[in-house]
Formats: sequence, structure tokens, C-alpha cells
Amino acid sequence: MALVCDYYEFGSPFDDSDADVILRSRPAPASATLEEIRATATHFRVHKLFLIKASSVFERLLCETTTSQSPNSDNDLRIRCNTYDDLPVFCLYEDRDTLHSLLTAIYPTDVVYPRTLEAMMKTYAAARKYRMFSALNLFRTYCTGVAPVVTTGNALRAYLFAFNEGLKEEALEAARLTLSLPQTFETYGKDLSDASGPALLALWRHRRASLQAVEMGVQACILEVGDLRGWKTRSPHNKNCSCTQMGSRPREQFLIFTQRLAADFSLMSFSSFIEIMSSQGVFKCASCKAQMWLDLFRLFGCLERHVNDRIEQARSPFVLCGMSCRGADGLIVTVAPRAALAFRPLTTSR
Amino acid sequence: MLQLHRELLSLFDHSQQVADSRPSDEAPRKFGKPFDRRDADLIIRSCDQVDFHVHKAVLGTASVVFEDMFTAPGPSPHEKGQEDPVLSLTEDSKTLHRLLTTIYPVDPSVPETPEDALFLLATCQKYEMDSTAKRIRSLLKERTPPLFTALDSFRAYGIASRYHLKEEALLAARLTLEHPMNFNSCGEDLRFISGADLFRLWGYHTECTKAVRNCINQMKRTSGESFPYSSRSCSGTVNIGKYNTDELQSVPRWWHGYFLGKVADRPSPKTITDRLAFERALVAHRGASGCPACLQPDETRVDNTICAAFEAKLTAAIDLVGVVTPLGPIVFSELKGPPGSQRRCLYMGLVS
Repeated sequence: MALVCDYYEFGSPFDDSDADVILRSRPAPASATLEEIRATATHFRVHKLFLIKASSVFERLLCETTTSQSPNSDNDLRIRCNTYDDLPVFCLYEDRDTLHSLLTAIYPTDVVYPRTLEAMMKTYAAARKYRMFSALNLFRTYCTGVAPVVTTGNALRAYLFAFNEGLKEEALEAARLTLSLPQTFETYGKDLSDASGPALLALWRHRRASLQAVEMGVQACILEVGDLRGWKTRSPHNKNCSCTQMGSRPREQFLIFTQRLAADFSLMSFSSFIEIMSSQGVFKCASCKAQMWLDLFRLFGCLERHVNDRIEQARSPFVLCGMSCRGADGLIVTVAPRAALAFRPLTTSR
Repeated sequence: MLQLHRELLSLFDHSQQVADSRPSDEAPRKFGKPFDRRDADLIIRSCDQVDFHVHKAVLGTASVVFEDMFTAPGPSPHEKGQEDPVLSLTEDSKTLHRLLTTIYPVDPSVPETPEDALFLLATCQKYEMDSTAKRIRSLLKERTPPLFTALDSFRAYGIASRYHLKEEALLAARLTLEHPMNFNSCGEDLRFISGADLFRLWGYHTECTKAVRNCINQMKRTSGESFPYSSRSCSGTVNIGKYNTDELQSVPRWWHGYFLGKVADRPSPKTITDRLAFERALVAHRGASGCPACLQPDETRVDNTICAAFEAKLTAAIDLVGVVTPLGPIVFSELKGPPGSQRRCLYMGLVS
């Protein structure tokens, strides 16, 4: 039926008779097939009140309406205005599914969360573009905490999507995930084809700075733990052992792990830590030869804390510069400061 | 799109040109001699507001695009009683000056940086000035030292690929073989290389590495269908005094391992056959194995015959490997001109 209509009507719940504005999604390309008809320009009949409350962009556009019935356009945001059925229409750049997700987040209805990486990035970008920050936070909470969409496996694609959409926070988080994989052409493969030069440069610099921070964090941790005496815990089998001699092997195993970690950040997991620490069998007390127990969980936590602290410190100079590079539209204000890391170096001259 | 994001992306563009392409509020100024003649019938204005008084006949002869523009039907400004028509171009005055000095009978202004050279060639491509591009390439070939070196080869490759300069992209790709193909080698030059071009360059490196290894492995195919005896007895099956440098088929066994080790991740004939390194390997071989038969490190044949012959053999193998560009693949043999143009690739620091 949609084939014979100018526009596809989305229907419930965005078909109220008292709707006072229409949001029109981006039409499908001319080559669209029947299967793609869902992507044809779709009308969402909505209420100005919801848009105004949820989005300062729509608030501006709707409240500054001129004498004509048609609302204002915004070329920078690629919003064109029209009329249809005697209602004002905002012709938007976003596709049907993106607008659907966005509207469910601001209406009292079941939220339709993006399920794929591409859908997630498009929705994030739209939410930021229209300054719908409550909706953005809602999606972020779900897509990062409840049902994570970005994984180590698609981290590069996520990074490139985020970079291309101007989503700094997501770009940085995805860049961090890429640290768990080697930065090689074999690893990246054809995903590289979607990358711009600046995106690759930012990613390379991010990795370089992060790995330097990891090394510094490792050194600080080694200093703190010393010969691991403080991480010895009472043995469940020999509760009377109170020997103070540690022997050298626990520290040697710890150093082996930290050396490997500095070369391969993907080892930064408790399971890898346990595996390497116990690879040479159990530790034995240097004095009584009884099995010695170390609080490996706490020890790993110490290492993790030092590494993360150093990474955060490495971000500090980027933060200042990133925040000073605020765009004309002011959207960067809401970006977490650490998000500037991946971008700042590009603004400096060589 | 965020303003910041635009700034980031603009770094991928030819930065100077992008900056200069913005409309300027400055009043136009004349470039001066030799582009200020009264008999000029056209003014071309650069993006940085510099006027060049030129002749349509000269410009039309050099450029298909300008010729079509000048011969297109429609009233000319002269007919409307105006002064010389002004043609505003997106190139900056430095580029236009170099372009004009190449097509006018004056001393040519030769680019001094790889970026300038590539942008000039891209401008020739844009205005379909094939002869001018040939002349510029010829001028660049004569330049000493070469404008393009392995040092900035990744940047040159990225820019050439972006401007669809197939010839320069391939020649720069050849120079990158002197570096390991990884992100650290590209370093800051990553900003000039799109991911797609980088992926294609990686493919080129991989193919070149295969070609070079195949070539080295052919050393094993001696007449005895096996290796010559090991280095301990080089003289057993190989007449060391008569290395077959034409075919390089009859060589000591240790050569195979040595050269294969040199390939590693730098499949450049130049680095693989590095003379000094080969001499050091000879010394090490004689010292370790007590081989009395291999060449003395200081024998001139190491430099003049063996390494040169081997380099030529590897170069021929790599010549067959093409680099894929957005406009299609290109192989080195397509660049080699007719006899007498052997210096074709010298301006890129390569010996053809």
C-alpha cells in the first residue's frame, strides 16, 4: 500500500488525530526495493509539546515560528520545513528506524532500543543533534550497561562510526576497546576501508598514549607491591604458618605478567592474571615449605587501579584542549572530559 | 555535523589549499611580471586573490577544459563592453604560478615539496593538461636530490592516491617498501591516508613480499636439484670464484637464508641487497664457518656485480606487482616509457 502513497504513515502510536506536527524521515533512495520500503519517507504524527520539552532544537524551531504556518528551517542541521494535511512538517535527515527509536524515548510508550551498532550510532547522533539529552542518556544506559552493543570484536567499526558521527565519548570508549586487539592490518581487515585519515591518526595516537600510560601504571604498581609480602593471605590448610620470608617466585611471576601486559593490553583480565601467576604451580613458603596463598584478586585490583589512574592522568592534557575546541553548536559541552583524548592531538600543528 | 568534526576532517584535505580556498575579503592584487602583459585577454584569479593576466590562446592550447570553456557558445564579457573577463579558480597563487610558468616560455617554477608537486599534478589532471603534466614530471625527474624519498613515502602515497595520481601513487608505494608496513611506520602521516588506501597499500606490501620471497627461493633451484652444500663447504659444490651473477642460480646456501631474513617486513630490493650489510654478513659467515672460499668482503664484485645483479632481479619481480587504486590497478611496467626514458622514475628516488 505504501507504494501508491506519497508518504508512509507510521501508524500507532504516532497517528493521533490531535497531533499538531509531522516529522518526516529521510526517504529511501530511488533504487529502493520492496524490502526497503520501510525506509521510504515516513510520517510520524506527533505533538509539539513533547518535542519542545524533549529537544531544545525543536523548541527553538517551533517557538520561533514566523507568521507563516510553516515552521523555521535549519540548514546546518539539515532540517527542511513543509506542510502536509494542513500540518507543519519537519523533513529530517534521519531514517525511519532512527526517528522511531528517538520518539519512543520521549513519549510515554515502550522504548524501542537500537539493536545494532549502526542503529545505535545513528540514534546517538540524532539525539545529540536535536539536543535530546535525556533520550541520549537513556539509550546509553541501555546500550552500554543492559545490552552492550559495542564489543572488542566490533570496536574498530564502532570507533569509526562514532568518529564519523562526531560522537566523541563513544569514539573514545570504542578506541579503548581496540586496545585489547593488536593494531595490525590483519586485525582490522576491510573495516579499514571506512576509515578517514584523521580517524586513523587519532586512533594511533590514542593507542600510543594509552600504552605509555599502561607502562607507567605497571611500574607504579610494582613499586607499591614490593616482594608481595603484603598480599600474602592465611592458608586454609596451614593456619599456623606465620613465616615472613616470601621467596622470589611470586614476584617473578608477577613481573612476567606485567611485562606481557605492557606488550599486550588484551591480557588485562583477571583470568589471564590467574593463568600466568599460577603457570608454574603453587607458591610455597620459603621457610616452612607449606603452600602459600596470595590474595590475587586484591593484587589484580591494585594493578588495575594503577593502570587506570595513569590512563586517566594521560587524558588530563587532552581534556583541557578538547573542551576548548567546542563547536559552534555547543554540543561538546555535554561530552565527558575524557572523551577529548582521541581528538585533541589533531588540532595541534605538526 | 559538528564544527570540530569538520576541522578534523579538513586535516585530511590538502591543508594549505583548504585554508586558502575560503573566499577572501582582500582586494585582488596583480601578480606582476611576466603575467601582466597588456595584450592579455583573460584574468585568472587565485583563491588568495592574486590576478594573473594571461592569454586564452595559450591556456586553451594547454588545457582541454579551458579550451572547451573558451569555445562554448555564449556572449563573452568583451561583447558586453567589459574589461578582460575574470576567471576565479580554487587553486592558490603559488600553484597557479607554477602551472603558468610551465606552459609559458619562461623559466619554470619547480615545486619544492612533495605536497606541492602532487597538488600541481592534480591541478593538471583537473584541467586536463596532459602535456603540462608530462613536462612537470620531467622537471621533477631532473631534480637533485629527488623530491620524493622513502622518508615521506607514506604521505606521498596518501596524497597521490587521494588525487587519483596513479603513477605517483605506485611510485610512492614502491618507496614505502623500505619501511615495515605497520601503523607506527605511517605515524603522523596517517592523517593523509584514507583507510581504504592504506588497506590497498598493505595488500601491495603483502604481494611484494611474496614476489620477493619467491625470487629468493629460486636460489635453491640449482642444477643439483637441491641446495649447494651448507656454508661449511661452500666450495664443495659451488665454484665461489665464479658466482653465476647472471642467473644467481648457483650460490652458496647461506645466501638463501641471509636474503630471506633480510626481507622480513621490508620487501625493498634496495634494503635487501644493502651492500654494507652484505659485507658484514660475508665477514660473519667466514668467521663462523671458517669458509675459506667465499668472497672477501672487500672484493669489488660484492658491490658491483653480486648485489647489483640481485637487486635487479628482485626489482624485476616487484615490477610485476601492481598497486590497486580507486581507478584500477597499475603495474610498474605501465610507467616505463620507451627506450631512452630510463630515468623515468628517478625523481621518486627509484632506479628503473
